[in-house]
Amino acid sequence: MVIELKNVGKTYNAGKDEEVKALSNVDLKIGQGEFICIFGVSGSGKSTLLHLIGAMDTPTEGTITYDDVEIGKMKDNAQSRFRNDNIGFLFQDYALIPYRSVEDNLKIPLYFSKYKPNEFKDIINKRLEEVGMSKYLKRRVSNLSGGQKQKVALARALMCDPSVILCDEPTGALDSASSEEILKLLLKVKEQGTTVIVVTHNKMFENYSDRNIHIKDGHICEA
Amino acid sequence: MLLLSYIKNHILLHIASFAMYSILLFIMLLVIGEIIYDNGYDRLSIEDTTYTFRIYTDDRSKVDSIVQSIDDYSDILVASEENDYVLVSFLTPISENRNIGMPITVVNKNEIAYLSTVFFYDNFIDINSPDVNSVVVGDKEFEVIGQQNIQLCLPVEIVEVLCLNMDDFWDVARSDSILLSIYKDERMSDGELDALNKSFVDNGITAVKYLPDRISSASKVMNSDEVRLIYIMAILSCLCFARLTLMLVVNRREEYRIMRYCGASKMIIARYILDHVMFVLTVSVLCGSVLYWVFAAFSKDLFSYGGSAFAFYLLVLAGYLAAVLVTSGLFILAKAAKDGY
Repeated sequence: MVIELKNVGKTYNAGKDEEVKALSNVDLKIGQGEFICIFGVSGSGKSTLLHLIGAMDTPTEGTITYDDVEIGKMKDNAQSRFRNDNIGFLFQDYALIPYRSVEDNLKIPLYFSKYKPNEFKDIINKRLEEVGMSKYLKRRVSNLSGGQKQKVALARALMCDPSVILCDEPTGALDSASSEEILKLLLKVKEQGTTVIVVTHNKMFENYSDRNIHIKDGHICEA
Repeated sequence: MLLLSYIKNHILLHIASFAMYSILLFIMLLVIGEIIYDNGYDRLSIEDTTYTFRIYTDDRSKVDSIVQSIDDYSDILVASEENDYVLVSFLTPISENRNIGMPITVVNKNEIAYLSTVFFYDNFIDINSPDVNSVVVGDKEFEVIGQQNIQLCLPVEIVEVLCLNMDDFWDVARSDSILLSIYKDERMSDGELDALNKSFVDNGITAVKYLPDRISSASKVMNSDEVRLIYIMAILSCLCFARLTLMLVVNRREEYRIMRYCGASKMIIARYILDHVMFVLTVSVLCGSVLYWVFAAFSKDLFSYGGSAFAFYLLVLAGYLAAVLVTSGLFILAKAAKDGY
């Protein structure tokens, strides 16, 4: 799936005193199976860009297309369905429900997917195996280590077999050993043909990515 | 599965809520219960709450004994002969909506004269200056030889008692009978009536005529106090519900955010929130119902003046929801403390 951003801009509180121009004139084309790292200081607009690509927000200017399908024009229902089918998210804070089990957390995307409940078990087992977390199926998320939580989060991101994985500082809260493990898993995902876009400060990713993009004051500059 | 997961995740909360609710309800019964009582909540009509017995005996000691035996019920006022005078009691009006009193029952030449409250006030008592020198029944004037205020166990209900000259009273009373008039602020409970009947039997008095036979047709008139109370309870319930909804929406924002990332539309999340709120409410209503019926079944005496089941149930529900909220708050605080906030 080719992702294309044309002249994308995002302004918060437009026309008000507190107006913030988070992104402007962003042009970017990402091919299927690419591993892209986006670098930039805090407040440069990295996360905003990730949210726009992930259809969690709509741009105030420009267009974002997936294989020529413009996601900004979709209604919330269709956008959500698109997100469920094609996009997986990975966050620094894991975005897992801590008081639920690993299994319960992994079921969440499946509830909104095309899969039937009798297929859930097999899909969950398969994804947990891929990230090496099979024996933690019934464990409460709050009882896992940071690295284990991020693996579960990755398994959840992969649950509906997405074409794109969007990662926002995936190793920001992890030690170096766990960070390496997550990087390896992401590279494995990439090898399977999934596009991986990582927003990070971690220079370790620089050496493994296909492209490194630097973003500054809402403007993008490819390295 | 979602339902089971919910029950599993919240069972501790509901157990804790039940425990706390039991304590709150106990306090409520001690404090609010008396307030309800005191406010004249669902008060029965006067005829239904005054128990008059004609006892065919001239042995006053037996009557004294009966009076003694039911004296434990401190909110029962007994009008009977004491020493050389008879007590004729009536309630002193305290506010506009409490212009009720006790009918005076006097034996008048072999007849029983029921004097309605209105009649009594119109003829004998000026409400604004209740200084009475004499009471006339028929053509007989009773000399007032004293006046007492008796404060019952309730905080504000004051019963004024006129002390009539006993000699005058006996002139018009039947010589072979003693009239025992028992006033209670509401219907006697089964336990109280049983105790009273037992005391008759214990004192060897079998010829008892229970004069007012309207006790079974007690009219529960919705009075202004009750309406006010229901309003307050409805508002309390709404506040509790609003707070609960707010808590579920605000405190679970993170969960909803995760659901959004996983592909849930805004509509799905709205439905999830609604389902959640409705489920919590249903659980609360069911728990409230169970508690109500348990208390009602095992504490008849306690609720003898409880009156309207619906109104009381609303109060129970509001109390339970409040307990859920308080317990949830404590859980959140405990969790926050554990997490080091």
